[in-house]
Amino acid sequence: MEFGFTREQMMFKKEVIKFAKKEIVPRVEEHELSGTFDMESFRKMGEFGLLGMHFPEEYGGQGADVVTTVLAGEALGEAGVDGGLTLSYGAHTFLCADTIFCHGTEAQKKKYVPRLARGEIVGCMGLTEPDAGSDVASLKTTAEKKGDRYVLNGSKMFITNGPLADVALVYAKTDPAKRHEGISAFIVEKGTRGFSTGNPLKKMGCRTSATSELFFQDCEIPAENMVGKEGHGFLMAMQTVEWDRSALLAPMVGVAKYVLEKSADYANKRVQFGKTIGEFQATRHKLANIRIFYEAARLLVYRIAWFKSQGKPLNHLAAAVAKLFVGDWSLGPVNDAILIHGGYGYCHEYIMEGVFRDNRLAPLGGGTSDIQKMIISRMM
Amino acid sequence: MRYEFLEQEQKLIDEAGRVVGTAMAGAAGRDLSDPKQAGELIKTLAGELAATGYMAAGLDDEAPLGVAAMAAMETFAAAAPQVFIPFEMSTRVFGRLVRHHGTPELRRTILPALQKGALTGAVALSEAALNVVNDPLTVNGVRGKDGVVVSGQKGFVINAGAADMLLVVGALDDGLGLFLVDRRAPGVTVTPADVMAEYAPLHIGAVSLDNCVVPADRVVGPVDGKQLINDIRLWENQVLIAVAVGQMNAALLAATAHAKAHRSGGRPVIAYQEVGFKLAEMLTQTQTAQLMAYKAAWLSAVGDREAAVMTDCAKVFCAEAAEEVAGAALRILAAGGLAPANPAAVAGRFAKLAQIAGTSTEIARMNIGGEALK
Ligand SMILES: Cc1cc2nc3c(=O)[nH]c(=O)nc-3n(C[C@H](O)[C@H](O)[C@H](O)COP(=O)(O)OP(=O)(O)OC[C@H]3O[C@@H](n4cnc5c(N)ncnc54)[C@H](O)[C@@H]3O)c2cc1C
Repeated sequence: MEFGFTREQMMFKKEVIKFAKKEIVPRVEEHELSGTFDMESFRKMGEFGLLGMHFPEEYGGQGADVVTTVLAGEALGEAGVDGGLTLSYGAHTFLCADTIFCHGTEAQKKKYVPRLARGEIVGCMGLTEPDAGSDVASLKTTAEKKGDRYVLNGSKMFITNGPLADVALVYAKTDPAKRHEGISAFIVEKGTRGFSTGNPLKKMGCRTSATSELFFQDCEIPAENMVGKEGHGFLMAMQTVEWDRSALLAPMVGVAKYVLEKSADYANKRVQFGKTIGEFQATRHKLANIRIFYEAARLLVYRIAWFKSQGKPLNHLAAAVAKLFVGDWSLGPVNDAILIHGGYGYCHEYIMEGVFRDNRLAPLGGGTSDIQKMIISRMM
Repeated sequence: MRYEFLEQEQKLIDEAGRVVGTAMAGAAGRDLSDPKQAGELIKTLAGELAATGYMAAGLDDEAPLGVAAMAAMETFAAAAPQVFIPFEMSTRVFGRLVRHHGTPELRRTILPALQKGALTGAVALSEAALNVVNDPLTVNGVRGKDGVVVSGQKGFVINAGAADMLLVVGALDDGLGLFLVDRRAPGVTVTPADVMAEYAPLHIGAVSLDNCVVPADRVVGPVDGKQLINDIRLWENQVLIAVAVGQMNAALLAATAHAKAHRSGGRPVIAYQEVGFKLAEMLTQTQTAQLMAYKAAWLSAVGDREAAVMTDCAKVFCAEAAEEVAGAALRILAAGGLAPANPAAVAGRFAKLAQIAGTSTEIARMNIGGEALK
């Protein structure tokens, strides 16, 4: 076993941090306070090549390997990009664009992937429904075949990028009598008759990421908009799990480093009882907790990335372990960071409270911690 | 980056596990609280493990203690922590001190003897305060015409009661010296420490040195004291990390097996979320601890400057997680887990030791926090 990155990978990471600090971070606070999506930064990420790094050049990507792709996510977090924008980036790139790239027809790939990769259009993925969250197979949205078209009826809930998306990758039942095997995937474009979105949901964290419901009412789409084979939707959704558990978690790893650096910096400057608070043992212990979480989470996330980069079969156990650990253990260190900042930590200006709210999503989104525990215990 | 073992690495791990398993089965009737029997087992094991490549890690020039060696240590520690700890202190920690700080002559005579099981040792560092960070060492050596005269008290020395040779760290001239003392030499008294019966095979003892004359060729130093202490701590910590991870694995395995076999309400208890989810958390902690241990070993083997802080991170995480996993295992194993030899009970005891010994969890956190503030 070995844990090193290549020189090129490390250089690339530095470049991403530099880019993010210059082009994105200066606008984070404004968007965080107004709870709005930062389209300008999103487009710049596209121009920089971050929205589809792992796609081949002919599809608008850079042909990057999985580990480098994951490093980019880590770099965004480390630079101080908020969890909302990185969530939007993740849903767009890995849950929507990547699924079309991996399972779509050549025509679908050519039509959507390059534009998604360049950030010219925004993508989202609709799986969760008001009554089907953890129990995905019970989803009720239907796609009924009528000649050369499918007619979609139903709704989706909590969809990242929902209000903005030009392209929605939607999972629906083509055979409502079946559970997992009855699910298929479809591309639905913005503006399609019968397709509408709800207002952005007001959330606790990740506020710069727009989340909404999607509604389908006799929404007709061409039959060629089906992605992959009929009945394979659930499998396709499960294949995004590796990205979910590496690239989507990577910004949280980076954020832990960001929080550590900011907290150490603050502890070196803040003076109480005639000493910097960093001189108090309790402060050092808190800093240690953040560092330990960072190291542990990083190892778990890159384990999945490495498995994927080697083309190994999806390791559900390692994926669930990474998700569970980052989800359940990530709040403690951020809590420590808030405490180090004292009252300022509770105020928006010092970012820590925002990170805390953003991180609260980790044990929830993309499969709750309970579901990870279910997967793990079943595999034991 | 490579998150799996090469065939050769896996072979070392498997072979070491097999040797330890066979040796421990053979030692089933032995009274390991008897220093003589414990010392003999260490020697036999060293000789047999040498053939697997296990003994080379950290002791041979060409074999740093890397990830595979750490995994092999973890396997040993899972099977028999009460033998593993004195074994490692006696051989690898003792040996690495000789290798890195000893004279060429000492290296030539001592290292092969350790590796083939002809010699056992103990490292005597801690003193009454059990703290080498804040307080200067009081054991000291004074040069005389027959060698160096060493006097003072050491406390809590693992394997002190069973070792052939004690490597005593003390003040010498303006720095620190290493004194290689025969345990039976005049002026040396080893008093067994008052510890729980389950720790008896560790042969922890207090060492009293009363004008003990150490020949000049058995004295090293003065050496860079800071480096010396850092080295000892790092190597001890690696041993304790292996103990923590090994014990987590052992407790997890026992609890999982029990949860699958034991039925309640017509179902195996693993089917209840209260139990199944607990096991999932235990597995998550164990795998995470394992990766922390491996990363720390890897950084140390490649000579990365982050090795020390990562080892501290691994030590804190592994030792604390081991206690949590042992506690959870105990709840799953219920009454059976309370038996002294039950893996959950054993893991609980050794997790505690892993937190206290080497760099304590508290001091390790101070080091890690201090590093962040730089
Ligand atoms: C900000 C945000 C963004 C999101 N983005 C997307 C997106 O882009 N696309 C998308 O499709 N979805 C998205 N989701 C949805 C997300 O994946 C779901 O919220 C999640 O899967 C949980 O589903 P639920 O909210 O319906 O909770 P439920 O499934 O109703 O769970 C409620 C509680 O019950 C527990 N529970 C449920 N089943 C079990 C069980 N068998 N055993 C033990 N406990 C159980 C859960 O752990 C949880 O604590 C997003 C959610 C949020 C909050």
